[in-house]
Amino acid sequence: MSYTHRLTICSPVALIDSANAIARSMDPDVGGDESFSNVRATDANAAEFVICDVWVREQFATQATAMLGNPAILHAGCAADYASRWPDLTAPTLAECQQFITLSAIHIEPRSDKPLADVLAPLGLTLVLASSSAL
Amino acid sequence: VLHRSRSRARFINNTAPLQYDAARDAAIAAARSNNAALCFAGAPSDLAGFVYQNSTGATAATGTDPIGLMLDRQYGTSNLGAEIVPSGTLDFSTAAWTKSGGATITGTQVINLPTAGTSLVLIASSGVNTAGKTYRASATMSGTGTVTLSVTNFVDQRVDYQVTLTGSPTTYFFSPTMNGTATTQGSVSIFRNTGDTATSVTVSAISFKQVLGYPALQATAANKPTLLLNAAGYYDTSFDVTNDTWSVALPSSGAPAVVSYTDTGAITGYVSATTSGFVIGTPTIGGKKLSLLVASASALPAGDLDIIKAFAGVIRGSAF
Repeated sequence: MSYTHRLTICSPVALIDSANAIARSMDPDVGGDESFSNVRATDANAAEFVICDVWVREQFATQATAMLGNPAILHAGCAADYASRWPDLTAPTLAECQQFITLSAIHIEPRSDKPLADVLAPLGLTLVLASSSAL
Repeated sequence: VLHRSRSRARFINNTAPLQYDAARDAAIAAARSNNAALCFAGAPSDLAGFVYQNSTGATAATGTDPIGLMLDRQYGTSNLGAEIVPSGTLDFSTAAWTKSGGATITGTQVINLPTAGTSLVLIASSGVNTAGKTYRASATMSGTGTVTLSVTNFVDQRVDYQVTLTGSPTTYFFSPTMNGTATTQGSVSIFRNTGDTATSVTVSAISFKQVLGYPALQATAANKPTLLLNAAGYYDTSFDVTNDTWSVALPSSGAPAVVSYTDTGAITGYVSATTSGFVIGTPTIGGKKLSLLVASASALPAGDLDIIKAFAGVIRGSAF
């Protein structure tokens, strides 16, 4: 199985634009800028988070552990990818990468069919299901 | 008893593929007669050429991979349109081929790409850029290092596929889908992108054709349904009931129809109001919902829909 791990990132809703700008460069496909969208969760203080929950390859999981723990590495990775794949767009700044890492909950575990709510619970978050009318 | 058991096993083994093949062919014919998209994974042997990990169709999906592109089966394997590349012997010295940014050629089929940004471009003004349509670009190339095969709409979309060349001529292909921007030109190019390392590329063939039918797309990794091998021994696509969706461009739809799952209720598919569509079946494996996508500009006749439902039943080993 090539996609061996599950990456779950929970960012404050206020950071959705910069989170998607960063996700654009992390997604090998062309739609990474829509990674954070309508999947939401709340914490004990009712603060709202937007969720990206995705299967990743083992190699990416290893890289992500370093990249998503170090703003400088994340920023360098984003800048390089934007220069190659998105030359007409502005890459996230170092400050945006710093803020993203500081305020987001980032969790990597082996791939499983565990419901998302069960992944979020240990992070202190409660999944908010979208209403059917939003689909 | 032993003899009968062997006979029964042999009967099942022999008839299951036949039943699948017959049901599949009937379902494709039903979709074809209605100009409807019919996207499915199906038998393991059915994956090749129709199911891809990424929305640009560069990497085939197998096992339990996420799926970014499913091609419409209504035309079967003969699903490619007319050749857009000029016919005859491939000759880059002709006016059809633009050498851009300092690119040059050696002879008629060797491109020199000295710096990033240089490219060999074929600009086409007809037969390309139908919004929402998928195009299959391929090139047989050899050389050293990396180079990018690229398709653009000349306005606001460029889709790249970086390949690593070898000394042996190898055919590389991908299947990008045009966005909704109406344009009058399109191009396929061999391009030295930022980070590419190839300086000389030998090209023995290029092809650029429309993929017929209506593809199902998902370009965001976090939103991709995944392949699932079900109990019947066939692949199906599974939705995680949070945010997985397909986008299907249909002829009567102003915007791509979005197919997604609700978490509750009997209706398992939703398509925009200007089109009709179906995601047949609600069985759940591992907390995931299975799908067989049918999307049409108008409602399918009951008889044809019954045929497609029967096919869904064969895939899952159950009736609907």
